[in-house]
Amino acid sequence: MTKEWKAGDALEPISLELTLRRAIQAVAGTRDYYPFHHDEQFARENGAEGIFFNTMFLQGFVGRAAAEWFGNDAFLRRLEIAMHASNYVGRTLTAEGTVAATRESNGCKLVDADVTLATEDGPTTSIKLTVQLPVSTTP
Amino acid sequence: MPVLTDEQRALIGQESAPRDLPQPIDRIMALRWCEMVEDANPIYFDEAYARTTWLQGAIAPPTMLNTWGMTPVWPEARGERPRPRLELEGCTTTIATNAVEEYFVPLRYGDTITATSHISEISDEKTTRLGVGHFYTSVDTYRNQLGQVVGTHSFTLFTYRPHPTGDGA
Repeated sequence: MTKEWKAGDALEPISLELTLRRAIQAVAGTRDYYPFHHDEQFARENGAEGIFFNTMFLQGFVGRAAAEWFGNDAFLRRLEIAMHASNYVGRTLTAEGTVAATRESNGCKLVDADVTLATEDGPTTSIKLTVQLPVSTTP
Repeated sequence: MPVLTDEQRALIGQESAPRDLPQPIDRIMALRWCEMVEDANPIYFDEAYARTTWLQGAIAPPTMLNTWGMTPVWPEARGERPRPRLELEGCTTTIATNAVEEYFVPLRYGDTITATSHISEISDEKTTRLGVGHFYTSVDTYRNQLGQVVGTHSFTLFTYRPHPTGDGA
């Protein structure tokens, strides 16, 4: 039975440690070899504090969180992600949010949510997402 | 100072020719992706479970959309760049600021995907804490082997000349 969501429902925090190993996994996992994400010296010389995580990693983390919140077979339909500050190695990344709206479109049950990613440095990333909730199946 | 030429302005809205992504949608790459963010969702790999759901089988993580198109670093890509990139004199560095992805059709392992791209907008010159440059947005549209649009990826980047280091910025 799928939970009935309503605007204002809280999306509980989910955290992940941003270790250097995970930064390396992220380079391999996203196939993003831009030096900001693996070269400390390059990052510093270009205005960053150090190695930080890329957009695709953040998208992957939010994809995981969305399924933990809305169900393993909820299908992510839209993900808007705005980076305000960098997510640096050595921090802990936490996703949490609130249901913004529930609606129906062409027979699809959709939930919109506002999610924030934060580290010890404060909020880094604002996210708006939409998931399509499962329809009941008769296997 | 970075200056936009008419040629660069003319890039806006020009759709690229379709290109094949480097490989089909792949289960092992998806496993590495899930390992990266500790995503234990069985919808991606447990076919028996996935068949009992409305999705009727395993799907690849939707958020991998952009990753499927990443160009291999070896052997070196030949010919055209995979996606239009704005190159401005003096702008040595580029950073992502905003991404919007829409997912229309679940990707299945073995799907073969083609992509087209265009630049949708280029800002006037801006100064941020990182440097001086321009924001621009590139949009990728992905189609599967059936010709269905499976998703779109809109990426806003800031290409800039970094502030000199040591100026307290």
